[in-house]
Amino acid sequence: MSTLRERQLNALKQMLNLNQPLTKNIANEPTWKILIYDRVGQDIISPLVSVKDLRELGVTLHLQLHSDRDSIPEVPAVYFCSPSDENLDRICQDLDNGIYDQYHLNFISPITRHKLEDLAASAIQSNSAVNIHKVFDQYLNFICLEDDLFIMKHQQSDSLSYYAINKADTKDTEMEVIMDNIVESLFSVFVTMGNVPFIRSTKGNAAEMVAKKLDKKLRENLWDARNNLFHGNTGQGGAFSFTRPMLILLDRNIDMATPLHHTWTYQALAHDVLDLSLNRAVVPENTNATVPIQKSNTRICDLDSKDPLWSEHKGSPFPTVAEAIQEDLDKYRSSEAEVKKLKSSMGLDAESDLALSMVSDNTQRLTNAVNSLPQLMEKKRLIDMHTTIATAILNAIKSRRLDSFFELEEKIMSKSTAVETKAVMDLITDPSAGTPEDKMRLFIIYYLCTSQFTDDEYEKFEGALVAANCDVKALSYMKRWKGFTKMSNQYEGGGTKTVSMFSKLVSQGSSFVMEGVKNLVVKKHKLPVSRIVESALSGSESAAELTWLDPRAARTDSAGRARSARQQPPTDAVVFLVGGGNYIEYHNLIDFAKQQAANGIPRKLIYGATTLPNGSQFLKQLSLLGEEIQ
Amino acid sequence: MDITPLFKACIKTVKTRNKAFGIHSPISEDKQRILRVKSKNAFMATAKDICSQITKLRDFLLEHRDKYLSFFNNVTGDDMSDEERDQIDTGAQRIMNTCSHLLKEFRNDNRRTTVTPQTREYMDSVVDLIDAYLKAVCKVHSELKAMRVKRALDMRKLSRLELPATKSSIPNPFTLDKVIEKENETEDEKENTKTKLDLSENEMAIMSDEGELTSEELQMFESENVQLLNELNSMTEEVKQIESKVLHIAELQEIFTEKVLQQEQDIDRISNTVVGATENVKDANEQIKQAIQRNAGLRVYVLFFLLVMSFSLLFLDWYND
Repeated sequence: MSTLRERQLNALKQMLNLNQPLTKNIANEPTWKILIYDRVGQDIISPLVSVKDLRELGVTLHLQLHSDRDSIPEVPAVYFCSPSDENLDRICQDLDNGIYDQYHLNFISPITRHKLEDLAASAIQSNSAVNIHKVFDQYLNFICLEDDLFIMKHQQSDSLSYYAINKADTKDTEMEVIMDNIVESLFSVFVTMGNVPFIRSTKGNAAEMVAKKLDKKLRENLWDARNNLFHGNTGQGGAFSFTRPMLILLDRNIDMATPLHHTWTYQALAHDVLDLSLNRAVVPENTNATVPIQKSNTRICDLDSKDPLWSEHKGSPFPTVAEAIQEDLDKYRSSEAEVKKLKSSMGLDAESDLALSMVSDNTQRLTNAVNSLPQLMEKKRLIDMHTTIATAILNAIKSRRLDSFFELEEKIMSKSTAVETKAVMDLITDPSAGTPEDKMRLFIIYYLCTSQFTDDEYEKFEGALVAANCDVKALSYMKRWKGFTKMSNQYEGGGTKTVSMFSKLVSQGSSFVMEGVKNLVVKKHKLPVSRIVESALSGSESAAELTWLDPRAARTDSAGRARSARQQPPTDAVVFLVGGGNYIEYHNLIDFAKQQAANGIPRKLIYGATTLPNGSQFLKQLSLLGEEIQ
Repeated sequence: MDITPLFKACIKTVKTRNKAFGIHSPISEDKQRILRVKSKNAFMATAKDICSQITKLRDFLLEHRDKYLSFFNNVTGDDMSDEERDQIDTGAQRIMNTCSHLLKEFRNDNRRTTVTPQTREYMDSVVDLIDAYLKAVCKVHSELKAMRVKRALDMRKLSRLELPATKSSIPNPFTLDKVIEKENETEDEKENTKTKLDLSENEMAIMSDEGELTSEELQMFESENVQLLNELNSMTEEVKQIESKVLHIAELQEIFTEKVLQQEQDIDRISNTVVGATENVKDANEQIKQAIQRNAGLRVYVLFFLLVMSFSLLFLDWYND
């Protein structure tokens, strides 16, 4: 059973192979092709394939659709774009100019009949209908960042943000468009995975609308005998999966505190501090501290699954990561020293008699050394990159005192110890701690998690926040939201305990001077999302709050539903958050799956969201919403 | 999902619709295009040419691979003689050399043509892809050759009955290692040598008293047998060890040559740049020398001028008085 990411990758590779199945022969003759994509296509392709992989597949040029392109004859051109009007106009323009000789058009989401006819008309007009070899509908309208994490859109994603969905003056038509986009994307996910899910969603909000629409769309497609996309699907090279997953649709409104929470895992920190997007982090490097004008160059780092350190530690807390980097660095240094020693020992033996045993030993070592040199170079590059990233994150933590924010927020969210308002007040009024955004985030979490909050205290805090240059518009929105929903006991477990960190790090002579940064170890806890998923998958009674839809069932009456609800609930699940997700929930879900696997129930969980805003971006959306209220 | 048939159907409907409305699509151009021969793009033609040659070579190698490698296959009987193998080797080598030569020329030609940056990038990557393809096919061929050389050396070593010297000359490099088949071979060879020994013993017996072999002689011969067998076993052991060591050396050699070849280009470029740099520095020195001289000359002239003027002033002053 291949993962979502592998399937998407296979589909892309097949598309690049001019839609012929991939064969594995010795030394295939290269077929040259040109890849043309629009921005949506670019976002989909960039986390999956690198430029080197594209070259190996025979792609000589990869260009943006809306750029000036030269005419390149006799080579097939593969287009990968969404069927929007401007894209189609540009394609018709290309056909008119006759830039390429063979066109293979692949549309990311299905193209309507009407637009197809327009395309045909312009093709006839420009006399190039014979050049269009293939037209395909690739159901790939989603961006797969990891094996089990996907988002809908990256560039131009403002139309799908939490703000757009919840703002006061959203017209019905706009909402419809947004919902349609989300349904489209989810539909592509399930076509790529090759099976039809059970749908469950929370009641009474955007998630339910999406659930109903998706159910309708899946049902239409399944009962359409001619174009059934889920029939076998062996073309994708995937096995028929007999277990149907459960799609759990959730709205952002069930848990507003987690996106604002300060983070402590490596990947989440990179997302928060360094703007990790599409698996690419932008790290500022400060060069030349002696020069008064500090030039900070930015360096772009790619973080993907081929990097062993990253895939192992992306979910671990930051101090563990620092230790792991240090260990790797030590290992690399020792292997480097071995290779250097080899050089001197070989020099000695060249003069003396070539006794057989000596030669064999040295040749053995030399072979190993030479073979391992490229690996060593690669390791060094990765260690370098991680060191830069970790140093940048560490600097941010130290300057903004993110560790104290994190500790306090964890205490608030876990309610394990009573938090005094004084502690929160102290941190807010402290001028050296964090940016104004950090303080706003802390306060909003505090406000959401405490059940009683007198108006007095509220005024006091508001005054303190304004004094600290914070943008308090978001508060009005949160007040109204708290009035609507009753949040009680949403978080259980959690909390942190400080471990004395000096012992291990100092003994290793760590290059990360982490004094002044508390080494916080996060206890196992469950966020609301994980809890809902757990109850849904175990079929307990509390899950009855979620609606149940099954696109495969012929009848949708309540009797059928109750019957199927009593059957064995499926083991795999796809969790989708309408309105934005984040890495904290993703890691929490993965931990939950691992825990369940340890208890003997293997589960495959996939996490998806419309977008992935980090804390500051989400706060901006909230303040925009707050502005509207006033 | 393939919607090409749907698209073609759309085209047909649009065409019929156009005919019904009387909109004429530009037909004349169509006819012209059929009659006119499309101007061949020289670049693509050469690229395809080189590619097809490499493909022919690859197909040929793959076709004859089984026969080439069948050494002890007495059952099928369609062995290749060594001359045929040599022929294949030299032929393949020649084709590969011509291909790489053509490729190099092709690359240089492209560098000289002036085209837009996009087309240049496209041309460069096309050439790179052909290069990689050629390397892959060469690798196939060198693997075949290596297997063959290894087998030949095995046979040669085992047919010798004397103990091999510890400082034997290092044979030609080879890369592959098929241990199982080799063991079969050695067993075959051992049996052959054993039969040879038996024959020689019999001959010796016939040449000596043509009577019965006394028990002592029997025992002696038997012990000799055993001894020879042990020596032969140890020989095979040592041969195996030497072979593995030589394999390692060969691998290293290959890696080194590859790296050296890669660096050759860079070194050439660097030496050219260095030569250019020394020339520039020499010119610069000369120019500085000239500048200094001219500067000095200028100064002399200025001083002379001032001196003359001051003397003339003095003279005029004295004269007017």
